Amino acid sequence: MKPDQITSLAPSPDALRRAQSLAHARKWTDLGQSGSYLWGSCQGSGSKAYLVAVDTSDFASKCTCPSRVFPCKHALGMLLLFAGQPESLPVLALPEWVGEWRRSREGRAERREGGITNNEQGTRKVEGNPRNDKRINRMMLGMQELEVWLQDILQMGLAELSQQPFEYFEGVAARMVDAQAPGLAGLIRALPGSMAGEGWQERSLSQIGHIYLLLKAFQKLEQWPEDFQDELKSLAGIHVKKDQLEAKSGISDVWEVVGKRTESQDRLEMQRLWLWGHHSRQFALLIDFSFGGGSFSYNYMPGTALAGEIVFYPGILPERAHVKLPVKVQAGEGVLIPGKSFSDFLNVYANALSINPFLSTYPAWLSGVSVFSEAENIILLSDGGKKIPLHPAFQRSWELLAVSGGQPLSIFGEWLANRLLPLGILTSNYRWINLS
Amino acid sequence: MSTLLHAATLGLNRQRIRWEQETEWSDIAAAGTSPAEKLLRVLAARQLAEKAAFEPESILLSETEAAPPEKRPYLDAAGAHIMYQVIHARSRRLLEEALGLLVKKEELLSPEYLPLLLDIADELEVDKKLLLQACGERLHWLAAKRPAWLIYLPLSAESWKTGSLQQRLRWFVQQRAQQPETAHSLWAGMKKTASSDELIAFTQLLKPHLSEADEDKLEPLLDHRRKDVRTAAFPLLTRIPDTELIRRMKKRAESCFKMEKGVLKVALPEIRKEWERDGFSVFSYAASGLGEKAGYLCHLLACIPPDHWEKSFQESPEKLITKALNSKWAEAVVLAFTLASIRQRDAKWATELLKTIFQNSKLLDVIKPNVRVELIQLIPVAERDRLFIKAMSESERFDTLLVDFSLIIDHDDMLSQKVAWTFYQKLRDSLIRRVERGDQRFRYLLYELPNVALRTPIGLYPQIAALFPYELLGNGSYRHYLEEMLQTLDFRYKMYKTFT
Repeated sequence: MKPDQITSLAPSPDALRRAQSLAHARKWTDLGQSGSYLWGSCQGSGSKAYLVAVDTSDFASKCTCPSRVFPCKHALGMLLLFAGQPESLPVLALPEWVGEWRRSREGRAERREGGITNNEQGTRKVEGNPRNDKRINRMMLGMQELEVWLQDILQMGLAELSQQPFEYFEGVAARMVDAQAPGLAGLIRALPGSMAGEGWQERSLSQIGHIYLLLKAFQKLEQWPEDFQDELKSLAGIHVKKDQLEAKSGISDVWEVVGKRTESQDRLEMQRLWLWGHHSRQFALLIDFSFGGGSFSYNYMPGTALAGEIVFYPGILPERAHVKLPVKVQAGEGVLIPGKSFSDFLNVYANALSINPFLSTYPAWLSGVSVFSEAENIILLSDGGKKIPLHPAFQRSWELLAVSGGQPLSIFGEWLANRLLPLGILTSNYRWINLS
Repeated sequence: MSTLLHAATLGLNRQRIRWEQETEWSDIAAAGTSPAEKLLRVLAARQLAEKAAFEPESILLSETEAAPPEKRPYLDAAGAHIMYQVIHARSRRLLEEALGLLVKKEELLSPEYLPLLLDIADELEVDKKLLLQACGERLHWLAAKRPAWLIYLPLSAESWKTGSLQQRLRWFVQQRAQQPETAHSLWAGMKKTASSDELIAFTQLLKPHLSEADEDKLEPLLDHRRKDVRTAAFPLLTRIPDTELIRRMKKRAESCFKMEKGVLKVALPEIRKEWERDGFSVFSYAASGLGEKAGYLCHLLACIPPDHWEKSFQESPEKLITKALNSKWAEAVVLAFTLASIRQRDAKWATELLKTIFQNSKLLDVIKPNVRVELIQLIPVAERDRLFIKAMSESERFDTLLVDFSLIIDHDDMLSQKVAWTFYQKLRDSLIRRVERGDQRFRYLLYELPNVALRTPIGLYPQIAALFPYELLGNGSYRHYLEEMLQTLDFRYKMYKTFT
C-alpha cells in the first residue's frame, strides 16, 4: 500500500491534508496491528481519545469520532501512517474492542453464509419460489398499467409532458414500487431529468422507447432463455442477493482496478468500480451504494489490484460482479488491457447489444485517440478521423489534452448513451492517470 | 425522424402520423393496434438502432503540432501526490514554494495538473517565470489552446495593436520595465484614444518603476473630469520626490506646521478653492478617526517627504515624532508621517514610526493594518527582526501583540529563523497563560496561524512540533487553530522531504 493509493479513498483534498498531519506515530497511542487489522488511539477535541481501527483487506474502518465524513481523517491518517511507517504499529494481540468489531463483521459474513446454506437446501431457484411467482404476477399487472401510461403520454405529447411537475412522475414511479418493480420506477424517475437541455425530445423518446422495450420483453418472460430472464428480472428490480452469489464459485484472478465513478442523488451515492482480470481478460463492474455519507462496501482504489475471487451476477452478458472476501489488495500491476480502435469498439458494442439490447453502459478501452481543442471545446478523434463524443458529465477534458501533448492516447471509460465518459488514461510511456 | 419527433412533441391527439409515408418504420409500426402503440414500437426499435448503428461524425481537423519534448523527467507518484494537494490548497505562497522545489529538483509537474494550475495561477498571481520553469514547454503549448490561458504566453509588439486590454496592459508593463522610452511613446499614443477606465488601468501600472519622468504623465491627470482618474494619479505624484505637487504642498504647510522655540506648532489648514485640485476634497481619513479638517492636515503633510522636516527643523525623526505626539493634532500628524514615509520609501522614518506604534496602542486605531504592513516592509530585515524580538520579549507585551497580530503576520516576507522560533516559543507560553486564566477572548485572532506557518523556515518544524505536543492541544479551544498551524508545517516538511 502506497500513500498515493490512499488519495482516492479521501473524500476531499482537504480531508487528505488533515489526515496527513495524523500520519505520525507521535499523534497516536496504543498503536498495533494483527493480520489485516490496524488500531490505535488518537486525541481529538473530545475529552476521550478516539479509538480507530482499520481492516486493510477492504479498507473498512471504525472510529469513535463524531465525523460524518467517511472514511474520517483518523482512519485515513492511520492508513497513511501504516503505509509510510509500518514499523510504528507493533504486531500485537487484538485488543478487546477491535476483536469485538472483527467478530461483529465476521458475524455478519457468517449470517450471510448461513443464508447460503439455507438457499442451498432447496430455496435457491427464484423461479421455483411461489413468493416470486406472486411478485412476477404483480409486476406484470404494474407493467400493463405502465404501458397504458406510456400510450397516454404520447397522446398528450412531450411538450405538455415536460410541463408536468416532478410529483406527476413520482406518482407513476410509486405505482411501480407498489407493483414491486423498483427498476422500472427508477427509469420513470429519470424521465424528467432527460427533459432539459438541447435535444431533450430525442433523449426523452429514447428513454420512453427503452422502457417500452423492457416491459414488452418482461411480459414474455417465460419465453426467454434463463440467463436473459435473469437479466430482465434484474432490470425490473428483482436482484440476486449477495448471499446467493457467495454460494457460487467465481473467477479467481488478479483484478486491476481501472476506473471509478460516483454519482449522487439527494443523499444516496452510487459507486461504480471497473475491474480488469489479468488472466481472465474480462471486465467486471462492482456497484455499490451508500446513504447519508455512509461508507461503501468496496473501498478499492484505481491503481490497486485485488487478488481473489469474484462472482458475476446472473445475466445474459455478465458484467456486474460481487467480490468474495477475503481478497488481497495489492499494488496494481499495470494496465494491460488490449485497446481497440473506435470503429472496432463500436462493432463489439453493436454485437453486445444484439445479445443484450438493454445494455446501458459498456466498458470502452480505446487506443489511438487524438485530442484537439477548438475554442473552448475538446474534441476526441479516433485514428480513423471519427469524432468520439464526450459525455456531458465529463468535466476534465482539458486534462486529456494536457496529458496527450498532441500524441495519441489510450483511454478507458464508460460508453454511455453513445458518448464516452473517460475514467482513466494510459500515456504513451505507460503511465496510468486516474480521471475519477 | 423529424415527422415522428414533431408528432410525439405535439401529441398524437393533435398530430397524426401517416405511417405509409414512414417507410423506414412502417413495418414495425404495423403490428401496433393503436396510434400510440405503433409509435411506442417504433421508439423502442429506434433507440436500439441508434445505439447499435451509431455512426460517428467524420471530422477533418488540421494537424496539431505536438508539444515539444521535455528535457526533464516528470515527478514521480509521491511527488505528484504532494502537488495534487498543493494545487488544491490554492495558496500562492505554498504553490510558489512547491514549484521552486520542483525546479531545484530538475523535475516537471505532471501534465494532468496543468489545466487546474492554469485556471488558478493568474488569479493567485503566481510568478509566471517560475511556472514555466516548473511545468516545462507543455505549459505554453497548452496555454495557446484556450483563450482564457493566453495570458500565460509571451507577448509581442502585435499585442499592443491587436490584443485585448489585458494584453495591452501587460505589454505596457513589460516595456516599462525593459524599454522605458518605448513605454513613454506607448503612453502618449494611448492617452489620445483611451477611455477613462483604460486610463485608470494604465495609470495604476505606473507605480512600479515610478520616476521623475512620470510627472508629466500624471500632473495633467489632476485636471481630468473624472474623479477616479484624479484619484488614481494623485498618490503616484506624491511618491515622486520633488514634484510640482510636493512643492505646492510644502508651501501650503508653512503656515500650519512650524517649529517655534523647539515646540512643534500645528494648526489646521484653511482650504482654498485652488487646493481642491490636489485631492483635498477627494480623499477622506474618516476611517482613521480623523475629522474633516484634521483629514485636510493629514492629507497636506502626507504629501511632503518626511526628510524635508528633518532638514527644515534640524531635528531627528525620533525627536520629530515625539514632538508630533505632543502636539495638538498628534494622530493626524503621525498618520501623515507614516503615509509620507511609505510614499517616499523612507526606511529610517519607517523604523522610528514602527517603534512608536509598538509603544502606543492608541495609534493602532489610526494606523490601520494595511498601512502598518507597508511600513513594516520598508524596514531592513535585520532591524525588523530586532524590533519584533524586542516586542515579543515581554510576556504581557506578547499577549498584546497577539491582539495586533498583523505586526507579525500581515507582511508577506518569510520570517527569519530567529523571529519564527521566538514567536512559536512565546505563542506557547502565552497560550499556557491564557489557558490558566481561562481567557478565551483572543481565540479568533489565531485563525491566521496557518499563514504564519507558511512563512516559517521549515527546518524549524521538528522543534516547533515538540513545543506543541498533542497533549497541549488537548481539549483547549485553541486546538483547532494550532492543529491547522501544525498541519501546514507538517505538510511543508513532507513536501521538502519529498522534493529534496
